[in-house]
Amino acid sequence: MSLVFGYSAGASPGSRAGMRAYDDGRVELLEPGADWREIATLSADEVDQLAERTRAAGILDLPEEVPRPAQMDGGGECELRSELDGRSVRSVIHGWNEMNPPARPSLELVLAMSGLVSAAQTRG
Amino acid sequence: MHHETTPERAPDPEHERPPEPAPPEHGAGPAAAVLGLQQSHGNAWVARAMQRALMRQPDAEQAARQAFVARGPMPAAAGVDFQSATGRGGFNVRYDPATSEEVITLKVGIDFRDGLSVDPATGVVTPNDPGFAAAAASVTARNPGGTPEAIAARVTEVQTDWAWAAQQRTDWQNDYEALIEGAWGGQHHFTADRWDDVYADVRIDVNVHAGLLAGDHCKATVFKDPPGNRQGPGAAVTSTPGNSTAATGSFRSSDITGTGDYLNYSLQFDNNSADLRTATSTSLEAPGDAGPAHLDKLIVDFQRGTPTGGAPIRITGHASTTGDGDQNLRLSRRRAEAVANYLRTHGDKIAGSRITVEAVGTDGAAADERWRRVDIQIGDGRPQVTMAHETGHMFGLRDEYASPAGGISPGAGTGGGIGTPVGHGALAAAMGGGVQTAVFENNDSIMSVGNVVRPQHYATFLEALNSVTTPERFHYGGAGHSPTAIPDLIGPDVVRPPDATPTGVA
Repeated sequence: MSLVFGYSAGASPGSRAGMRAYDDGRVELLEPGADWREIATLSADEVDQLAERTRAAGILDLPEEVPRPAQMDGGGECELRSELDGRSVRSVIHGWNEMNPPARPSLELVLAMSGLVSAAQTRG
Repeated sequence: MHHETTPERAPDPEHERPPEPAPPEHGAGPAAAVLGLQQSHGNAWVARAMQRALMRQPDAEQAARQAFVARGPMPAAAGVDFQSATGRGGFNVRYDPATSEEVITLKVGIDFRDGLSVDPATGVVTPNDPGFAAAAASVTARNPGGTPEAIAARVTEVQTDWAWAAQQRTDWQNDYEALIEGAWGGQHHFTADRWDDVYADVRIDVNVHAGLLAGDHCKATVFKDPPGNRQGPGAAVTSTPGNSTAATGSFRSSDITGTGDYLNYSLQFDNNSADLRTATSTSLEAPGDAGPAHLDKLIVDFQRGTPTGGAPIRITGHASTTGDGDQNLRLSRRRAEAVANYLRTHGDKIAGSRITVEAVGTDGAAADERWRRVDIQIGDGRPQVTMAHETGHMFGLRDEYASPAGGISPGAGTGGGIGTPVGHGALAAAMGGGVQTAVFENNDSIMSVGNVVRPQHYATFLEALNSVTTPERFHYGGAGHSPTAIPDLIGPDVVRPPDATPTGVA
């Protein structure tokens, strides 16, 4: 079992929130001040969609650190992880915000993940 | 009451932070006014001012002063848009010598957006920013599935907590204006270099409105989220150097109060124990740390940035009501001392002179385990109001907090190394009046992790003031409002320069 894609955003350990999905379809949620907990199961097709979107977003090729734009103050941090295709990627994007162009592919990926997870949650 | 307060006695070669100037006191009547001025500005200053008043002569200096005052609002009644040399933010500035006011006007246009949306038919919850994706999953996780009951519960939660109502928008605008005008206005004043009785008090006028206009200094998106929510896009201000009306912002409605706390920490102990090794952090920003590991982070984060810097640290030991009262008082002291000793002796150490230890035993306590704890308060302990800090960026200031490796939030934010100058450090160093350069340090300052507006935070206001009063210049004059005018003991001037107009005429 390996991680297809996961992220956690927030400035401190106590404020981080995120989601992660494994290749067996299991989805876990991180809420501020709590531990990861399972909330849904993706179908095999949904797992494939997430994997494809993760590759397309360039997550596997991200550097360890992506700096925030020089003119941005704040914006938070986001840690991205993936173990797709035998890789083990961990990248931190500083200024995880639409105003940071290098962050946009991962922002779109998280929105896509949200749609897949929401579908899984609402079908019961 | 069983309070025992013990300032640290360990010798500390470092100096204490010098006290900040106290605001002048204002009394009633001339005598009280003079006494107040003596207390706030000293006898020598008052003597000079009185001498000047008593020997008022139409000399060249007096004429120049009156000519300066007669210039009226500078550069004009409408002010001028200004951006600091820091290249951050932008605002409008004018100086009115008739009222001794520097007026800083900040126009903020707001695009109000819901944090989450929900399809009333399917109950599918959609984040309106990727930062809310986990929040959307949280809402659905509380009421999963496709039953009518689950869908209705999700629709209700999203519409109640994550969607703006018209009145909420209006309230948020009003709250934001009041917050900034109160937090940032009137904290310090400036004095003219040439005349020590010509002042500039700083008044902040925030104009917040729905919708984005071309002349807005900051165009912001504010997402609706529930009060106290801690997940979502991080607050951000992005500036355009050379353009004072091009900053953009992204905030959450909960930022009007702020939901983080980097000034208060707690360790919970086992029953009848003062052993740090079995204590656990219950701090908001880093819960679950083992006692020593948590304190190691605090030692890293709260190193002083200058030899006279470093926020005071108050350590308060508690005990639950289980057991004997006197024994609990001693237990609370042992717990507090264990924390203080650790901070004083491990890693880069916290200077003992910064630490105060207090044992309160079972004061206010109950029998439950939450009271078996030690609280650690940094500075004044007031958690930061996020919008007050972010507006500092609109005023041209940079961050002063630090996120060192080994601390609570390594690498977070735009902070730099503790002790290194911040982006407005040079401006602060040039303020005069004893203001030092600004450096990175975690403390209760507004551009660090607290709320206190210190002299260096008026650096861009002084920069703006001097740009509109040129060739006359001002310097830092002290905390609070400028002193009451010297009472006029001898009547009006006998001679008025021919080119002067009465003050107060725009």
